[in-house]
Amino acid sequence: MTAAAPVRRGQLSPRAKRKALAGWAFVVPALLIYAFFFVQPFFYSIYYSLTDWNGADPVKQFVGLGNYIKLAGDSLLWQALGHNLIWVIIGTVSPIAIGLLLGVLIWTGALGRVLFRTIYFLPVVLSEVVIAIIWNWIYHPLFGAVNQILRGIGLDHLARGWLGDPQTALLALLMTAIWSYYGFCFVIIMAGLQNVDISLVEAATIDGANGWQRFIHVIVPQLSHVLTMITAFTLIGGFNVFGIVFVMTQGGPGTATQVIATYTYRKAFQESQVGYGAALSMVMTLLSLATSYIFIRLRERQEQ
Amino acid sequence: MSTSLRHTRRDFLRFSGGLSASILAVACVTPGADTGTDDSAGEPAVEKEQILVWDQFGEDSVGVNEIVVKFNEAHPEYHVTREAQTNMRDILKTSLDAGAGPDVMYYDTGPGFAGVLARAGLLLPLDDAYEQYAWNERILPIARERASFDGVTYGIGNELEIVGTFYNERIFDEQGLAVPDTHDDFLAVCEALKAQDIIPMAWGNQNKWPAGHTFSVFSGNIAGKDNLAAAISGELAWNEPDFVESIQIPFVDMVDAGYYNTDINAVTYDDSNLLFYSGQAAMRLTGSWMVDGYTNPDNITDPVGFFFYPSIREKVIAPPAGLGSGYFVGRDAQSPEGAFAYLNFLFSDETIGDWLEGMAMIPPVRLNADDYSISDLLRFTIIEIQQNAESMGFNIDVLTPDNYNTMMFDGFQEVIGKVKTAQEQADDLEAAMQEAIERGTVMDITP
Repeated sequence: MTAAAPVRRGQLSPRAKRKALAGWAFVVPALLIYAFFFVQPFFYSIYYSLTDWNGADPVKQFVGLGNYIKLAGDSLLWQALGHNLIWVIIGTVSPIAIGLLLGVLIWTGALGRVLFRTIYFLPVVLSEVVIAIIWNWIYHPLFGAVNQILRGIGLDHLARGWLGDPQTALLALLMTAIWSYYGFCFVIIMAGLQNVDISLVEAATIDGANGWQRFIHVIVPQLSHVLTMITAFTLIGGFNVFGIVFVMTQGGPGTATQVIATYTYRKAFQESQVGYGAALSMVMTLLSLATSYIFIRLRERQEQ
Repeated sequence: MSTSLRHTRRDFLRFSGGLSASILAVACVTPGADTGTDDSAGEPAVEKEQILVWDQFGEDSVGVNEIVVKFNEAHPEYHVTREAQTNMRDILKTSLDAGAGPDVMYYDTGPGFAGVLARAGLLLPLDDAYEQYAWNERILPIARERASFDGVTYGIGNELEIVGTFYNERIFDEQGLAVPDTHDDFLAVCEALKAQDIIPMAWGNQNKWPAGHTFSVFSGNIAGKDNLAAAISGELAWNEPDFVESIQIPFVDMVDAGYYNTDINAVTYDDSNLLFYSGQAAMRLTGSWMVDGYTNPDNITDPVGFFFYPSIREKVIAPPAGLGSGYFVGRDAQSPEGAFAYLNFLFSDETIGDWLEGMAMIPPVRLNADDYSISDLLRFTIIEIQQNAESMGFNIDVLTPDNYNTMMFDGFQEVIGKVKTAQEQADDLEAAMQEAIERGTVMDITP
């Protein structure tokens, strides 16, 4: 009988090494794919943003920070950024508020919980393009449901080309986005509600708290982690929004619904200014990261 | 004795490895669906030279598919594979640059499109092929001019088009209206139709580009052919009074007068055609690419006529005419000779009927319209192009740089939506042209 070789402190045993290797074997392929499809293009984008390149020419003329300096004076960028901010604010608050309201209503004992959950979640499983096409029909100026209903109830003067009017186009798109997203918020919040401590709610009831007070002071604080996650996710989505806008209005009428992502596409692919488009995409990335980081830090500080 | 159903990690890894090896082995031995070889009748297999063609005609385009089949039959040494691309502008540059693009492509001829590829060295010059196949004798000069950049020819422009007014002859007869000779007559026709609750002109500009054709019509008729050519070439300012008026009349005055359907910016191009098909609108200002749709009884049973938009203030009209897209050969084409042979075949006597009769498209060749079984409307269009080639104006957006086009498309929506004035739009167009001049993307079309 031979004694097992002693394992020094800090040194892995052969069994632990095998386990670690197996772990790496599972992680490395995903890591490689991530590096190839995300990290590499990201650094390439940084490089392109420092060049004047049309996407075809073999020569990429290095212009340093020229594109970024040009961005500062680009009125269309500022307009697009303004649209993104509107999108971020309304497009974040509304679906979360609707999801929270519906979630709590159903959690408190509504019949047919599974049915409602399925109905509310349905829009989430549809692709953005499908949603955009459906809502294009709903908003259609000649025979869309919105105008038909308005005319049917005698509000003809309110019927209009919702997506063709600069005053209504962005809000019409936002309505579509909210409809497509609140179901996701609802389902996540419903999951979060399963962890709410009922005894605290009951204690608050005995102490005389009304429904609104229980909701604000007992239920919502226990959902804070879920709400933080959804809000961060939605904020990032608000800065990256592209599909719905591109399919439904292409940023129009004029530039009334242009957001940074559609403006980036226009510059990079329609106007062959890939370097400038890359700089725009960097701005979009920085905005998403900064906003999410600030929001999460604020939440953490509040919790402390 | 029961068998354990538990599986260890080792079992899983062994299974995964085995499965991967099996897939690899199958992949290595499974023959491709189409090897492009000819091994019929027991003859030794002949390796065909492959030609990959990307175009924008749609997967099910019977006419183009027919041409490909005919070519493959007539040229056993080559095999053309056609792929319809709907997002050519997004993927072509990258594909060609990576050496993974098509051998032959059907792409926009403008300086911002094929011009960019040509200047980046991604296209093969075709000057020698023009000599070799004597294309100059067969193909119209404009098809070569529009596909030439910096004095070198890179392609063959295709789809001769004109833009004008299609009208519903039944409605005109019922209302006692005649084809107008002047702009004022035209406005009187619109007024008469409006009085009868008929939409004078259907116009859908949600897609943005239709406004470019409207502007082409009015700037040709107001500024004239030569001035328009100078402006497109960057030699005349786009904010000259003639161009401002070319924006003011169709995008402001006629909108305010109610001569179009409502919600122009919310109605798509296809929906505006539906208004015309259904008889709710009496006229459409659009291009001859719609001849097929307007002569199809499944769409519209009323007879449809055509006239060029009439003279404004007794000026000579210059109706827009031009080419849709063009065929180009990639720099890395596997078989340049095969690609040239395909281009030659595309515009040969064997295929002109496919373009005309199968697709109602006018190829860029000298032809006799009476030799083909086509609609009267298409025949009229061909004759007009042939007889008035010298006096025709331009389709602006196929000749102007891409940044100018985006300004044109976005800006006209804003003018229609009252966000911008005609003068502001003209100033913005001029600014876009100046930027394009700086970038070197302007095409000189002056004589």
